[in-house]
Amino acid sequence: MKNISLSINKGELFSLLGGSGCGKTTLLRMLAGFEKPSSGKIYIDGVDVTDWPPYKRPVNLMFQSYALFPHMNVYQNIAFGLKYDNNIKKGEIDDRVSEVLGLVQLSGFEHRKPDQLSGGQMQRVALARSLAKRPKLLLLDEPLAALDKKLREQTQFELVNIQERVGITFIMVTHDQEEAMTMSSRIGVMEDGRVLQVGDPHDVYEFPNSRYVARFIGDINLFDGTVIESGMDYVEVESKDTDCLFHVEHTGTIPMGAEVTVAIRPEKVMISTIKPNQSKNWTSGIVKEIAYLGDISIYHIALQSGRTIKATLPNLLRMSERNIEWEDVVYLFWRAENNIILTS
Amino acid sequence: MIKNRIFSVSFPAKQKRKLQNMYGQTKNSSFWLGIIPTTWLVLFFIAPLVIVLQISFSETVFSVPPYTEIFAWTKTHFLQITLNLQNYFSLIKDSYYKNAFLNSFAISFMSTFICIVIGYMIAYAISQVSPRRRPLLILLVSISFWTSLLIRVYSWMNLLSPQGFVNSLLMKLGVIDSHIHFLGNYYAVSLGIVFCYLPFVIFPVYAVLEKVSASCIEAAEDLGAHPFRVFWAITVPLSKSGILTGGVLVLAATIGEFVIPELLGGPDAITIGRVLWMEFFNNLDWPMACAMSIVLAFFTIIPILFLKDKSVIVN
Repeated sequence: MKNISLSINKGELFSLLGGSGCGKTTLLRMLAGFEKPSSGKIYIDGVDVTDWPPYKRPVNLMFQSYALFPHMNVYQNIAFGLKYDNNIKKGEIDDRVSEVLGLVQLSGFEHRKPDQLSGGQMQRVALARSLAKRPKLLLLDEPLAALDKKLREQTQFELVNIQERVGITFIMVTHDQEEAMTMSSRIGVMEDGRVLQVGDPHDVYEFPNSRYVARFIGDINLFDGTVIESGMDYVEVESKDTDCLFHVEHTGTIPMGAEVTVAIRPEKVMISTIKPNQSKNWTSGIVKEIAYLGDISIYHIALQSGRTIKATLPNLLRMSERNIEWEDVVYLFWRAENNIILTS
Repeated sequence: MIKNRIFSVSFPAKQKRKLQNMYGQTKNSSFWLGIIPTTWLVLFFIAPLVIVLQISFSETVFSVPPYTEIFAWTKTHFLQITLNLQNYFSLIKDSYYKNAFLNSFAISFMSTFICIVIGYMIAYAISQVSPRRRPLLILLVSISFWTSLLIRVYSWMNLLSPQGFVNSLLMKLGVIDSHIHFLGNYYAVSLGIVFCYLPFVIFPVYAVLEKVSASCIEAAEDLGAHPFRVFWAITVPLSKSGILTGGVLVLAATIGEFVIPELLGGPDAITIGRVLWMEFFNNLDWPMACAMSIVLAFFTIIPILFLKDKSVIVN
């Protein structure tokens, strides 16, 4: 962990996104109280909880492995946390358990043992158990990682709905950028123990602040180059990789001669067999690969420098009717405002 | 010996299941796999037991061997079986035998309980240290386990005898004026049994504790349970199978224990193992001794059958 300063808003669904070993789970375990930060403070609702043991914190963690107690049934699992809470009266426990079971649509499963549940059901029991105490903060460690793809997509929306209904602040750890994009109100991208960028999904995707974030979230074409002209609201960049000039709309000051990277998302690149009517932000190449994904196709186009650009196009026409084929010479062009300039 | 017996019973069944899972239909190979331990069991366990059972129904005579045959052919070619139930009646009626059994049960249950408590604490402690240090601690437990039982019991005799280490130390320190008689009572026997059979609890409990998932413990703490409560509500129930296995192993092995009561118990600590020895070698009353063996085997097998039903031996 290096120099992390994060504030999470009440009631939001915040995602910590990063590759394995980036420190996202360690950060989550610090919030739960299982790891101690060597320096720094953790505040929840303005209260310093840095030195509180896990069982005193108003925080619950949903484990990646779900960590259901194998010797207890669903009811006992969920009631476990309520039993040790002095603020909850004995008679209230039944109501609370059936309330959260209703929330995750598992009413009637009270007497099942964990080994009699499917993966999806176990996941929902784990969620119900961590919601039952109505924590101020719910931490989710890769909550959907163990589910298969179809179920995962369905559960993403369910989880967001539940979060909106209970109004509890969720912090989720995930390595799946799609999951983070669909579910979160804000994303924190982590790498090597640092938080590189915090923003809503749109910000992080359209305006990444570093090469790492740009590459980690979505697909992107990166061109290293040199600033040859720097205006008030634009810069022009020359790159060895292409023969064209990049004209980038940019507010800020980047000095002439600076080494920068220009990034452009594949879906922002347009392909044409006719030379575009613009002097900058275009290049040409030969189609080397076409990956047909059904709804879209990904074109790999080799430039003269040997570099490959990726461009995605929606399949408006059926495959047999498309007019671009392998080894065709095509022109690629994009709009100046879709260029992203990265300095770090 | 008892330990071997259990494993040879449970092993073929487990292997059979595994093979069937792996290859679907392995009726043939599992049959041949099963035949070796089955032959072993019949030859060295069932057959001797049947012989012992047969002798237990005969009468004592001064001859070689010192018992009567229970099977005889009459002149009219009938098979005549003479069953002498006197030995079994004596076992019930004679308070000497009854007390020997009761003493053995009392010592055995008491020692098993203490073994479970101390063994669990040791196993838990081992499971809590870093994984790098665990093999060393397990090795330390194993070393005492591998040392001959006789040597271990003799060391206790040395330590606790009137001229032994403990007494001399206490005398030197001036805590006591005259020797304390540590040996020659049931407490000394229990001490010896607990010390010698501790590994029988430590190993199975440790094996189970090692597998209790760390996230279950953390989840319980996360849900607001104090670590002390987590231990009783999560750790102990999840290691129940290890406690059962260890307990049954100690119980079954110690009911008929002979060496420890003989060496540490003195003349008054009468246990079933010692009475058996006396009947065999001092009184040469084989039928009586065999009847006692049958009853003893019966009481030893009960806890093992219980264990098999619970199918916890798989650990």
